[in-house]
Amino acid sequence: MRTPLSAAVAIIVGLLILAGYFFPFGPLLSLKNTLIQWAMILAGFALLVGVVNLIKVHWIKIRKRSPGSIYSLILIISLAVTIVVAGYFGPVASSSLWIFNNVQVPVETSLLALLSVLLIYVVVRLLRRRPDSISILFIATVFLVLLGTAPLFFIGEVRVLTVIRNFIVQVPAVAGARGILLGVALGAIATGIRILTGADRPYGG
Amino acid sequence: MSEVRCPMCGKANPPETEVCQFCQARITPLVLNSTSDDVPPNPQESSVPVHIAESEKPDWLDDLRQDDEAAAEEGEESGMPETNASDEGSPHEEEHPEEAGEEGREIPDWLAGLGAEEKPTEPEEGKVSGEEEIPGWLAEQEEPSEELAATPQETPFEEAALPEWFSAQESEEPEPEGEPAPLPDWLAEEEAGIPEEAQQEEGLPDWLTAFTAAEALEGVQPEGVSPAESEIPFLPHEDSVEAGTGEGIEEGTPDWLKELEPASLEDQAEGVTPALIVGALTQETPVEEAQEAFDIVDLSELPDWFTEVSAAEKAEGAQPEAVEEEPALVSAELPEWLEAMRPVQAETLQATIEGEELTPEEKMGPLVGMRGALPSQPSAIHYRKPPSYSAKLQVSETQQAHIALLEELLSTEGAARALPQKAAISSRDVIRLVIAGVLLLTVLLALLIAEPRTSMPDPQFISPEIMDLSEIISGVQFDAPVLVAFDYEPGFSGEMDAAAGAVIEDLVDQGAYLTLVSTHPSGPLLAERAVQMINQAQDLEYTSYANLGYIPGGMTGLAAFASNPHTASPIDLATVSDPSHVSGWSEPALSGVTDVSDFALVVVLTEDADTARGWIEQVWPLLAEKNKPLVMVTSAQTEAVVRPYYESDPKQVGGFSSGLAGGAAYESLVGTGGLSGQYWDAFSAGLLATEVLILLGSLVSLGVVSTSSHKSSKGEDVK
Amino acid sequence: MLQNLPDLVGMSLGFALTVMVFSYILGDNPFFRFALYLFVGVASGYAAVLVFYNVILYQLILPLVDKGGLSIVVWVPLLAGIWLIITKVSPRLNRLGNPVMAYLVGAGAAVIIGGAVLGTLLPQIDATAGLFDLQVDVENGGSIITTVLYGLVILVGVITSLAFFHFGVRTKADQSSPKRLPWIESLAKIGQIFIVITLGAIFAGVYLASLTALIERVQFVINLFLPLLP
Repeated sequence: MRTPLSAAVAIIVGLLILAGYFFPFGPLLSLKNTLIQWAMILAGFALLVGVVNLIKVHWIKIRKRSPGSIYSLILIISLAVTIVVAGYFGPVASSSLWIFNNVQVPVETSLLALLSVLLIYVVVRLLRRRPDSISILFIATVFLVLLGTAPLFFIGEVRVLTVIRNFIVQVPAVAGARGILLGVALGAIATGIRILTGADRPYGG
Repeated sequence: MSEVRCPMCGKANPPETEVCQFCQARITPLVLNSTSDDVPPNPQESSVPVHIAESEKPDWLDDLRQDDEAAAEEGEESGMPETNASDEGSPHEEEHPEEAGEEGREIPDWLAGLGAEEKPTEPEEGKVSGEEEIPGWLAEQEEPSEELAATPQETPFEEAALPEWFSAQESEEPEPEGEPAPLPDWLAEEEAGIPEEAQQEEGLPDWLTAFTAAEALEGVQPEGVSPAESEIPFLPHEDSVEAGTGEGIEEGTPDWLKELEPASLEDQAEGVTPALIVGALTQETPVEEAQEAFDIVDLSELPDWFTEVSAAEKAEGAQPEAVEEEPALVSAELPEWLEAMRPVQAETLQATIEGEELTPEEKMGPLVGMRGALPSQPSAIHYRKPPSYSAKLQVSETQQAHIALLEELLSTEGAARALPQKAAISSRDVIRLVIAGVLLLTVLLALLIAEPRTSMPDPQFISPEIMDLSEIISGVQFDAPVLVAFDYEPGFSGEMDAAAGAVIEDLVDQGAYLTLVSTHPSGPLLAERAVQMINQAQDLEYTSYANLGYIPGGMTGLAAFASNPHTASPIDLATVSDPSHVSGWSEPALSGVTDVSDFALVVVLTEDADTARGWIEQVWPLLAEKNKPLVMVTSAQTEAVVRPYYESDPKQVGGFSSGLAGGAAYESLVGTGGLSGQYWDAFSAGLLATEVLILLGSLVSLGVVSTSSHKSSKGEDVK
Repeated sequence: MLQNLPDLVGMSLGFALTVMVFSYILGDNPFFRFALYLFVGVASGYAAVLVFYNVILYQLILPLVDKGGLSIVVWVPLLAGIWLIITKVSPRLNRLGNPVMAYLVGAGAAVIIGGAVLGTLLPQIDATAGLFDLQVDVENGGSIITTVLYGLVILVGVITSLAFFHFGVRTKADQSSPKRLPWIESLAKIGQIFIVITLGAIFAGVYLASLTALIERVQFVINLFLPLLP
């Protein structure tokens, strides 16, 4: 509901925590710690909400027998089995680890491994899609960094390539990364201030 | 019907009322009889000119004209003022025949006097020249009046006795043509009394102009009758009618005129409608109205000449259609004065008025033969069926074309388009297969090689951040609580296991008490997996660690953990599986930990730049207070983001290693073996294959692009 | 290696899932989707279990039991969390849970602001200024010229990179579209070069990570089938 209550809660809580950051002493500090603790707990509940919503969405798909509902059934079954096994035996029990090691790790690792093929394809096609100086500079940077990361097979380490790679990574890349980090920090501060002043209300208030 | 509608304004009135409550028009028709109580004809009505067709003209009038002509030839002038040249109301018709009848068969003096006045030469549109136009019945009767003037002796009016006032007018000499005749007093007063509005009405027939003039005259004299009415000798005056003395009218008001209803004058004063409308109020047909108008006066009291005329009229038939029959009238010579009174200009006006020919001709009533007359009934009370409009939508051709186009678009909207047939194997698939094949083959072959062919990184040329990392880790004391955060996704476990394996092993070798935590849900499992791998690799049974589980909330959770780790993560997950297991918080290593700065070292294993930044922003400020180091083992993709924190002063990240290369360098530095060494050959071979593929692919793309651009430029030149 | 049946079954399952995922090279197919949905279900299940143990059981229920149910510090988040679940699961009551979400957002915003200022902004600005601290570099054995040169490049890179992200524009009457000021535009073009180099380095790191994952998967397959080879 779009009421001042939500905005008031966000602003008051945010200002109290922020005050605890810059004036970390006395009751202000303990209040800040308590508020942050509560936020962490509520974040856990929010994750539970996400899981419940996931179950609800796929349950509806199964009930309606919509296209792809068989995959939803697989998801629900795997989720239920995991909850039962990990909930009963414990999250870090051997049975839980068995599911984790033999289902989640292989799938996710394979997805990342698949990415290597796609990334090379993207680089190969980049010049065809966008033949400009920026693309050439990008491809050259990638090429030089890869070239100096490890010794060449059958050839061995080429010192010059390593020096070039280190220069690229330690100087211009750091400069750009620092600029990006500063920009991100400034953007985060601006976004936070907008929320604390009520200008932005992503919570629907 | 309980209500009666006014013929003028169309509004509803109670049935008992005689006069309209809104416009004061007469609702109930006037019924005139021969008794003295009869109301004389309405002078207002009489002022409305009536257009009479030739066929309707009575014989007595013809005789009158002949008498007039004769009188005109004799040089008699008529003091009779010029009345409206156009038609008048029916009472005039009655009056004139009556007068003629009274005066005998001689040409009446009044008629003779009329001819002496000059007839207007130029039509004055809409202007009443101050002279009332002669009645229509009189105006139309050009020839009969001429005949009357020419042969006054032949008229039946000769035997009738003219009233004295009329006789006085006979003495007036007719003015020569072209010269305006001197206006009689009563006519002059009329001219003065008629307001300019009435005079300036344009485009109206003279009879109507006279009607409006008469109405205007009423306004001048609200009490009574207009001066014109009062001066018109043959019009009854209110006072004279009431008193019977003829006050308003000068001497010589005929008795028959006095006997006419005085009430009509009262109505006139209030603006009563003329006679032709009076007939409409009785809701009679126009035929009946005309007949009624003619029958207002009791024939028994009419002069003989009139009786003969009325009989003649009856013989002709009372139907208005009979009026259309042209009687065999002998054209009479009109005296000049009468000729002047003819509404010649009005007729011309009527002919020249645009569109008047299109208006229907009146076929009945006093305005027979006239065009452009106001309807006897106001259009408001013409109850007719409202026009029905076609319900069919009128669409133009352009709109129809647009409609057809829109229908075509909408019809194809729901229909699925046929997908273009694509080849079973496209160039994209071929390239992908080639790349995958090359990479897989290279890695497979490199892994299958028994002896390593690629040298490990030279410790002399190891990056300073890795050296700092090694230095910090080597500085961890035995049983020191070391916080290790497994904040990477399971998908990166291949790289992170190789990159961080040596670091974790080093910590284990140092005897540190590892406190495992994660801000990712899968982190605790990864941490447990890492410990199991170490135990497997070193054939250990390492238990000096506490798996504190998952910290929800991202940066918020980190902030909460950093301020109070025990409250944020009170559980040791090992106790869940094994309740007998002693919680890590009960261990001496963690007993003194109140916040994150109480840890000897914080090691963050992450592949995500935001996670790395979160740990640095939330945890490093507290660590910096107690000068506790924060080190990282990151994925190769995070190196560029973490390095600025390493190169800051003071260093926010004390040391870090990134990717498989960093792990290999660390292993080379500390002199241990690990997954990095196992993957090093395949890593090197894979990198070489990658570089070759990128180089070849880029050159081919450049060639293709340059060729296509060359072709396109050639094509443009040809054009 | 393979010590018992569960390990064999597990590795077989892992191999099957690996092949299913790699089949995406040939295009999207039901095997790939099966592996994907299976992984999502497992990951979601673990997340739910960990939240239950780490948050609900050990931070709310057990402390409440220990303190005899008299702890407002526990009741507030517990009730708020239950309220959040109830309102956010039901579409009709969705908006009633906004105050709780507002609490989370407000707390997160404050944490982000504090961390950004204290953890990134001030230290990184200080670090940029400290590039020309020649004394530190000499102590570390570095060359002055190299230090100054590197410092200049980094300083220019930081400033121009920030200029690249400056999107304030002005509209002039003779211009069809709003444009940045000319001097900002020049700085932005230089900053674009530094950012492209940074993104190239990051791209190379991503590829290295994926190549390592590929190596790990191939090694896994080899480890699985190697004992079977004569």
